Amino acid sequence: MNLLCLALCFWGFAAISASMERHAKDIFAAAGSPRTRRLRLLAGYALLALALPPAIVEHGLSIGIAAWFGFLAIASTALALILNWRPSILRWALR
Amino acid sequence: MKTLDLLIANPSARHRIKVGLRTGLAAFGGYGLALLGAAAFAAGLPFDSRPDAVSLAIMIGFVLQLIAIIWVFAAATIGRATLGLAIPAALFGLWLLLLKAMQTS
Amino acid sequence: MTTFDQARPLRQSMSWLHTWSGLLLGWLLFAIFVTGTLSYFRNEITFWMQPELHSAQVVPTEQIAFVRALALLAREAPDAQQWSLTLPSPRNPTLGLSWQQASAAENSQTSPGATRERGVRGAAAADSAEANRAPSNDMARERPNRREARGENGARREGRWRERGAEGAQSPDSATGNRPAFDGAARERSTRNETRGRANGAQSPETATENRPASDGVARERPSRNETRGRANDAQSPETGQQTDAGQQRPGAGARGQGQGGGGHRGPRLMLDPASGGKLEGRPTAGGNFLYRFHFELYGMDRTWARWIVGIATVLMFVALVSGVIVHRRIFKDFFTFRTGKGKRSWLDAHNASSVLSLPFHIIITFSGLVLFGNMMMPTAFQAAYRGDTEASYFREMRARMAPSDMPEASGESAPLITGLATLIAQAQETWGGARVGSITITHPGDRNAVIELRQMNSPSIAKGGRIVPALRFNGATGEPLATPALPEQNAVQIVSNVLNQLHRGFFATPVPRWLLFLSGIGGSLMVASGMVMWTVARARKTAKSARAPWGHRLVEVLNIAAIAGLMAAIAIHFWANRLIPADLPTRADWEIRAFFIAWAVTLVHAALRRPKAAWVEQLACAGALTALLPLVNAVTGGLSLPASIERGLGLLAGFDLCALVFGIGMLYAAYKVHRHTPRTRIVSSPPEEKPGPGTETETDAPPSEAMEEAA
Repeated sequence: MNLLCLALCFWGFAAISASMERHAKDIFAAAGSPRTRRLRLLAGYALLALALPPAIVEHGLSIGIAAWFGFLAIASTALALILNWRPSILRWALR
Repeated sequence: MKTLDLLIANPSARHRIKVGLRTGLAAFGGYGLALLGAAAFAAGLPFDSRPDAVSLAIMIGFVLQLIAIIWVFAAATIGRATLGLAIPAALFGLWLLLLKAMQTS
Repeated sequence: MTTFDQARPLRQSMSWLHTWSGLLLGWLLFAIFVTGTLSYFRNEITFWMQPELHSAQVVPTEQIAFVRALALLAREAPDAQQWSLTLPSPRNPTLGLSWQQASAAENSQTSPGATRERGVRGAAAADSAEANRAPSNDMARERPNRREARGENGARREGRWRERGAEGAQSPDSATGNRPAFDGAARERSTRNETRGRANGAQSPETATENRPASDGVARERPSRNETRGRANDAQSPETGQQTDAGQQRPGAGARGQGQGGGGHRGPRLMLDPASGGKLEGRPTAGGNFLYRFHFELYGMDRTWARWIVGIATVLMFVALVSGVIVHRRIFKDFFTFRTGKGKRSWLDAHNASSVLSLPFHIIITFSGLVLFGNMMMPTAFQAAYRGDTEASYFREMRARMAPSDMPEASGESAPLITGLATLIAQAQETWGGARVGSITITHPGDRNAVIELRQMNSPSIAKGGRIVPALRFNGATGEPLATPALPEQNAVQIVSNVLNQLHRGFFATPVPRWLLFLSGIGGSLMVASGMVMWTVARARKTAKSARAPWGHRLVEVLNIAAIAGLMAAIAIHFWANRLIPADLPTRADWEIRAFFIAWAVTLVHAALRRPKAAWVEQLACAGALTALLPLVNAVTGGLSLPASIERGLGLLAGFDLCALVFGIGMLYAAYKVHRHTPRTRIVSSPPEEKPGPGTETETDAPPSEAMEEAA
């Protein structure tokens, strides 16, 4: 459940980053149409929201929410590092 | 602060004095307002249990302090900055006096 | 230069405010962040620092030597009113035993009037957070007295830290609003004990102090009270983390006992090997509690002053955080932006990323830190709500919000205690759907009305407050289940303050949330460090042009080196000292701490004497090597080696060693990067000394990962 939450957070942030022009270019070489990017943004937020239930199932409501914030922080930090290092490896995860 | 401009010719010294005044106002004014606000809320919050009122008032006090400090540095002139602290402080003070009057009567 | 009293954008004023509020006490903030972050694992650190305990075997509950433990308790403390057993947990594999001695622990409370008042004050004093919440200054006033008394005692000079250490154990418990309930219980109980103790004719060394001069009375009374409370807490605290804390503390406390020639009024706290039931004797050390206490009351200075300093630093941190958010131009657009190899820009990115990505944590940790200092910093709240009333009412009312602890009285008839604790544990775990039992308390052991209470290991909620965990009670003579004490209802305000409290302290935490807090804490340390380095980087070019760096810039640079790299080295030295100072040296616990401060002072001198780049490289390399070697030091000085601890399933030791390895290598890598770095804009005219310190501008590229290690 912890790993699921972390994976969903990471995936969600990856989708959100791919909705931003600069990062999308890094990941896909082309930014993509505004519509695709908006879709990625929505999908990203949905994935972040989806990451909350596993955390709550694992830790209970109050601790689960706190843990969710923690996972968000870690996932976004990892993503920021990957975007700087090898953005193209995110390609497989984001169609 | 036109008077200050006239009094002190050296622009660098003037700048330092202005920064010093703001800092002093933020530190002492901000803390003073927070103390007053905490007291006002602690006395005025309609809770059955006083410890709850105290702990909530403490939290409000810290937030007030933060807002006050930011305000002091954001305000256009030091006069407005002072006014921005003095008005809420006066309101809290009045509220406390009112409560005291009600308590004694 | 921001010109005030002229039209200027808000961002400009906030930028000024952010820079200076962050810098002013930034070095202190970094130390607070680092030591506070390490405090999330202070039980683990304490355990690591006592290699004598590493031999404890990890066994399943049904194989724990309860029979031997109970026999030991019956032998060591036959008259105790309450026994407590802290079960082995992932955070401490030993079986902890303690008891509340039926002795004249509180015998200095001769007059009944004084009893009440002192009890209340004690309630405040015992626990760290609540202590500063104590609305009056009584404590502060009392303290100098105590110290004088101590000074007279000469031999007690050392005692101060140890006492603090001992309190440290309890402070976690004590810290939330729930605290007074237990204090109350402890107090009442100890008063009862006193009577009992006297009736029994029990004589403890402490009794002798009864007729001493008042100031000494105060001096002696406080520790003893704390200890009593400690035991009661041990017994009562439903929270494992805390119990473990208390358990971990024992050696330190024991050290104190030794140092003072035995504080006989309280039973020692024993640690057993859970499999064999044999005693384990840990070396005297403050353990992780040193770092823990340092993060909110520094060291070697008056506690009230220290707390005020930390409180002011926290206010500045709060201001810097919020003004930083206002300043940040594109908080969402630059959310994932981190560009390496771009000099100043990279530092800004690193600062932004470490701040923004765990912003909720930073805000919560700062605000809750302030709230923990609430009654100290906002005394008017208490004064206004309790105008004309005493603080006794405050604590009484605080207590009233908690569920009363309704233990039955002893019957006076003796009956053998059942020994099948493992069965009860299995029963409890089944009732709780698998949740583990953290501690067991046995009240009135040997009596027909003995009560065995089992408490859950981890609190299932932050909102309820870490102390409130499910418990089950059984009759100690028959094993029949008894009514379970009801958990108190909590209103919104209590929930908010519990959440703040718990998030700050992390007691609720099972391993995963604890690691999340730890990693976020590293993020915070990184944020502070990168911010301070940025101050010099931003001014580097200007400085480079002038022949000599302005003294302010030089000062910041030197302090940055000592505060960041130097602190890391000092912490490593602290751990080395723990292993290299002979285990039987009486003052060893203090020397560990002195080693820390001496090392830190040396790094400051070193930073002042060397060129910035050389100082960064040497200190980072030194800190990195010292840290990375810790697993080796552990293995050769009697600790359990890394492979062995992994094999034995002692995750807490393996975790410490692995972290040390990772952080150490990270710092070595950072040192290497700084060493290889050449500034992008070389200013030909400037002599080498005046080159911008590459440590402050690693533009070759310093991926945040090692900056991270650097910070942790």
